[in-house]
Amino acid sequence: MITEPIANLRRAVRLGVLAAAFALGAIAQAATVEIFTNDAPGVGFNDATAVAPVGGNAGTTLGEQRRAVFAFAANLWGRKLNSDVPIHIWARFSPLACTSTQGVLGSAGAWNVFSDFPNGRAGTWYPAALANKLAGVRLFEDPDFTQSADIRASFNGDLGNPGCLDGLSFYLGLDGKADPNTQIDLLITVLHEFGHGLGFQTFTDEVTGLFFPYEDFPELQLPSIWDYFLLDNQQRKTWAAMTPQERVTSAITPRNLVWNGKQVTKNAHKVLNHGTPEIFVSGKGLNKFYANGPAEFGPPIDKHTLIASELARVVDQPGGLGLACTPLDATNTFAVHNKIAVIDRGTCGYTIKVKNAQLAGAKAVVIADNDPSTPPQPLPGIDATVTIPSLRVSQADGLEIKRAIAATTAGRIGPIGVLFENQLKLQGADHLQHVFMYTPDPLQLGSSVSHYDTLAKPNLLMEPFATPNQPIAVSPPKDLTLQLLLDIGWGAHEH
Amino acid sequence: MASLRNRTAKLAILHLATCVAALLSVLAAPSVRAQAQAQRIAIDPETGRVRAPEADELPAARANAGAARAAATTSAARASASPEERAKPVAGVRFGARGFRVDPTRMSFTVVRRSADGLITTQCVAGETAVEHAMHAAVLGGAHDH
Repeated sequence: MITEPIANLRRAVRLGVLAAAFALGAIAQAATVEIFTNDAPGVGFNDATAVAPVGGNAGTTLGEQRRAVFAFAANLWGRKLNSDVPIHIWARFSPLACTSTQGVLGSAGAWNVFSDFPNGRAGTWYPAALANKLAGVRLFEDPDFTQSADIRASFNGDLGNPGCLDGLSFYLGLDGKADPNTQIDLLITVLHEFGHGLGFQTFTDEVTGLFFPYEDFPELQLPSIWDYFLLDNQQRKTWAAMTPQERVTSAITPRNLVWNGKQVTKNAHKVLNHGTPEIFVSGKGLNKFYANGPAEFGPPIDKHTLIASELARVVDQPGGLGLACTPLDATNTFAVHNKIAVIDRGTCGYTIKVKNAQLAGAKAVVIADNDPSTPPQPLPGIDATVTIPSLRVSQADGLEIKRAIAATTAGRIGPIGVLFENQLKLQGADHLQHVFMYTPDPLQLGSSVSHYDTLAKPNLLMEPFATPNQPIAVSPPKDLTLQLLLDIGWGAHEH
Repeated sequence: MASLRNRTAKLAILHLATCVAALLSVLAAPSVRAQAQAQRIAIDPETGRVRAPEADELPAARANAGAARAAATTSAARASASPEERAKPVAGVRFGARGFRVDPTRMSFTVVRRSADGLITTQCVAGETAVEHAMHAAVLGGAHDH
């Protein structure tokens, strides 16, 4: 938790009024985002270290470049949102927890929440900026902006200094061209964190299932506005309508919890790829689709893919596993030739396994995970010589498929696998084009629920992990963050 | 033998027919865009490419102690927080509306880790408890077990 001497608070300066509202003369058509800081002279936003302009950022000191990045992010959000009430962000660069190998890049979130104000849903918590917008006035004023700010944002001013993630630094350009090996794109990080502060978060505890403000105020526990849009496809309930235990279960049921908001749903097709790789297995008691993680090497499972063939196991270990880390022997080659090979994860890289199956004549490969986590993640790797598609299924699903294969009588046909692209499903959404939220099992503390699922392709700004392809955008055709904020009550002005 | 082959062929046809039926149910053909092979999250030291970390490379609330401990973690963090760090009512809100200061468990943090073999992961988590989980997560070192 950040604390600051009161004396420093008096040195607070306003970074700027950054939205275009005043220029347009029509404040209702945008939002004004004001950033306040109490960084001390010479540090953070006031760091006078000389730097060269980079990636469209013309600042000549470190502090100026940091301000420019924040101004860019604030301006982008300000042009997209619609509010008569300025959005106040308390921002600072300060030392945050850090070692040479790990550290906090930044933090942000709504600083205050409100319920039961004019034009809001009764009995519901809203982030301050959105509550102010709906009420048409700042609901809480205080001369000290560290009390009344709508969003608090802190970023690590030590990043790159000796002892703090040595060799890594913030990229301060505005063009998204950070070197992923050595740089963290500050602009994308700031856009992401501002997104949380504006409302891309639930205040409900996904671990205990309790509504805010949790144990200390049981009589005041209320759902967040977010919870009315979280729909559990299995339970057929929103989070607002569930019991705490039902929410706990929902938070760790992968690819089941979706965003049920009109704006996100109707715009999903403009952003997400049309088509999701699928594996369907039939026979020996099976007749179902399996969640999968497709390979990032070899031919993609796309609209041209249709492989329907018997599934066959590789068995090359004493315990009955099939690792395929060495060229397959005659028995395994015979088993998988012209079929879909089922291989266990472990010991060697995925490309080696798939290549060995390919050399044995397999049409495709299914990797059975050896870790109980779900959903199965994509298979990483690079090998331009791999010419057959492959994917991963979970450990439990792999066991089920392997049992079905083992139950096949010699000389009979075993279960049939079909690999294809389901063109009725957007990549990252269910069959109704409801976008999946991130709900892995085991739960990722803090990442689960308040992010889009990592299945989404192309990558979205509000996924839980930084990715090289995250957009410097918040709305279609590149992103769906704005649409989610519209669903919870923000008005928009598209420029 | 011929009978066996016939039965096998029939079974295969039956299975395939089931598959085709399933396919027909899902394979209408709306427009298709190029499928991006996006990679995520981590820089793989073997390939130099950014990729998704394996699930067992990530910190997990239940990874070593079960859901009960995870639940206890957020509750305990709140219970042990100093008064300044706890959710608390905000007085003087207009229209008689209810206001609360958000406690640190809802603040979003972006955490980056680098393992001994150079793997870099960046993750957005909420709350300082999650930060501790993320920063102390055991990241698989050396050659990644695939």
